[in-house]
Amino acid sequence: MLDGPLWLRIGVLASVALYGVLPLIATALYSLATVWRRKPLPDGITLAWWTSTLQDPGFLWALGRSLGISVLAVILVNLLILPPLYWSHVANRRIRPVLEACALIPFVLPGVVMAAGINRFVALWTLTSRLEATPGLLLMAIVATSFPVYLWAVDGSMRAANVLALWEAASTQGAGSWRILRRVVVPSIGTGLAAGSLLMFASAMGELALARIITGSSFETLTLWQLRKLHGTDADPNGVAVASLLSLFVLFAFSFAIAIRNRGRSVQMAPAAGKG
Amino acid sequence: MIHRPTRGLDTLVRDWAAVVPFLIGIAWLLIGPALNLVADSLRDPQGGVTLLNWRDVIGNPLTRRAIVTSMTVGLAVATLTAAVGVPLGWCIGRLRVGGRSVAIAALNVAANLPATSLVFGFAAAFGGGGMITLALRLLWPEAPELDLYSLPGLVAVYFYFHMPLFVLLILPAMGAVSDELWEAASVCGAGRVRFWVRVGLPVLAPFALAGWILMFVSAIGQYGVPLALGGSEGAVNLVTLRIGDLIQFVGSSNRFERAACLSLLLILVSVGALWMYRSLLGRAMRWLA
Repeated sequence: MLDGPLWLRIGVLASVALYGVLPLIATALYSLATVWRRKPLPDGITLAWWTSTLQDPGFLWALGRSLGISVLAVILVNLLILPPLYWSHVANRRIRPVLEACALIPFVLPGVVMAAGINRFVALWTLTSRLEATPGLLLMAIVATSFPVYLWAVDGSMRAANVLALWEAASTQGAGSWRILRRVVVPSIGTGLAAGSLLMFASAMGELALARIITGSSFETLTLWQLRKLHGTDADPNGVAVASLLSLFVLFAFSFAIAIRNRGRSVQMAPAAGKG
Repeated sequence: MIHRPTRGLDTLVRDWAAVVPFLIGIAWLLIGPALNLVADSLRDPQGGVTLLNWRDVIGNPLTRRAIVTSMTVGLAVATLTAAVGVPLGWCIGRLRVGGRSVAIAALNVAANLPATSLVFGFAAAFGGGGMITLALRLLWPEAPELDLYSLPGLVAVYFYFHMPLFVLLILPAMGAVSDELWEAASVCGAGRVRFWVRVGLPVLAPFALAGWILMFVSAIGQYGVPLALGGSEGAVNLVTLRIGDLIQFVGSSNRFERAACLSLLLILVSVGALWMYRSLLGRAMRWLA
C-alpha cells in the first residue's frame, strides 16, 4: 500500500517528536534546577525559581502587559475583520479580492521593516503623531501584521459552513444581516473563530520585533523581559525558563483543544491561490 | 445574494461600509509606512531627492555582507526545511484523527514559539553547555559542539521552527497524492519507487516549491530570533539586525534613510518571491480540486 512500512513511519515521527521536545525538556529542567554544571542533568531539583519568578513584580507586569495587549489584539481583529469577511460572503463578493490582496501585504513586510516604517510615518502627521511609540500603536501594528492568519482561518471556516446558504435561509425568515451574524453565523464558524483568535493571540504574545522597535523598554512585554534576562546585566536564565514554560502550556492547551474540535483537519495557514 | 435593482450612493455605502475601517487601518499602518520608506530612501538632509543613501548602503562592506549572509541563511533554511518537511508532512498526513490532532497542535506551538523562549530552549538543549551536548560528551568526549552564535548555529535554530511551519503549510496538499492515484499507478504496473518518482513527487513538487519560497521569505525577515541569540553585537551579520541597529542607535546622519534602503531591499525580494509563489500555486491547485 501507499503507506510504507509502519516501523519507518513511526521511527520518523518519534525521532522528530523527540528532537522537537528536547528544548522543552531542557527548559523545564532549567526551571527546576538548583545548580546545573557539567552533567547532562541538573544537580538538584527545586521549586524556588518558580516561586521567585511568579512573585517578581517585573515579571508579573511584563506578563500582564503581554496578556493585555494580546487579548485586545484578539478583540480588535474580530471587530475589524469579521464584518467585512462576513459581508464578502453574503452581500458583496467584490470585497473578497480586496481582503485577499491586503492579506498578502504583511508577507512582504518583515516585522522590523514594518516597525521602522510605522513609527516614522505616524510621526509625519500631526493628527497621529501623539501615537508615536505608544502601546496603542504597538497594538495596532500587531493586528496589522498578524491579521492574515485570522483571516484565512475564519474564511476557510465560513466557506466550510456555507455562510451564504445560512444567510439566505435566515433572511427568508425575516432576520436582519446583523442578527444573522450574531445568532447564526458566529455559532456555525466557532472553531474557525477560535483557531483564528488563538493564532492571533499566540502571535501577539510572542511579538518581539515590533515591541522592541515601536515602544522598546517603555512598554516591557514578556518577550522583552525575557530578552533582558537573557542578555542584560541582571541575567536570570531560570526565570526565562519559567516564563517560557508558562506561555507554552497555555498555547499548547488551547491549540490541542481547537485541533480536537476541528477533528484533525488542519486550519488554512497560507494564502489560497484559487478563486472561492 | 442581495438583489440590487438600482445602483445608487446608498447601495455603494451598503456594499462597502463594512470594509472601510479595515481599509483605513491597512492604509495607515501598512501602505502608508511602506510608501514612506520609499520616500525616505531617496531623501537627502535638505529634503530633496538623492541616491546617496543607496550608495551608502551598497558601498558599505558591513551592509553588503549582511545582505549576502541573509540571503544565504534564507536559501539554506528553505532547502533544509523542504527536504525534511516533505517526508515528515507525508507521515503526519497519513495519521488518524487523534494522532493528527496532537501532531497539528504540536506543530502549531513549535511554529509560533516566541523567539526568546525558542532560543533559550534550544541553547539549553543543544548549546555549548546544553543538556544534549553534555550527554553526548559522556559517551563521546570529543563531540563537536554546536556553536549557536555562528552561521550554522543560526540555521539550526531557524530550522527548528521553520520546519513545523512548512509541514503545516504543505499538509493540505498531501491529500493530492491519494490512494486512488496509487491504485491507478499500480494497476498500470508501477512499483512504489516508480510511483513516487513519476507521479507522487511531481504532484507534490509545486506545493513543496511554494512552501520553499515562503520559508525563504520568512527566514530573511527574521529579527527576533537572531536578536535573542546574540543581539546586534552577535557574530552573525543580518540585514534585519542592521535595520534595527540603524533605527535604534544614534550614529550617522542618514541612519533612517539607510534603514529605509535596506528595508526596501527586503521588501523587493519578498515581493518577487511572493509573485513566484502565487503563479506556482495557481497552476498546482487543480490537483486539489
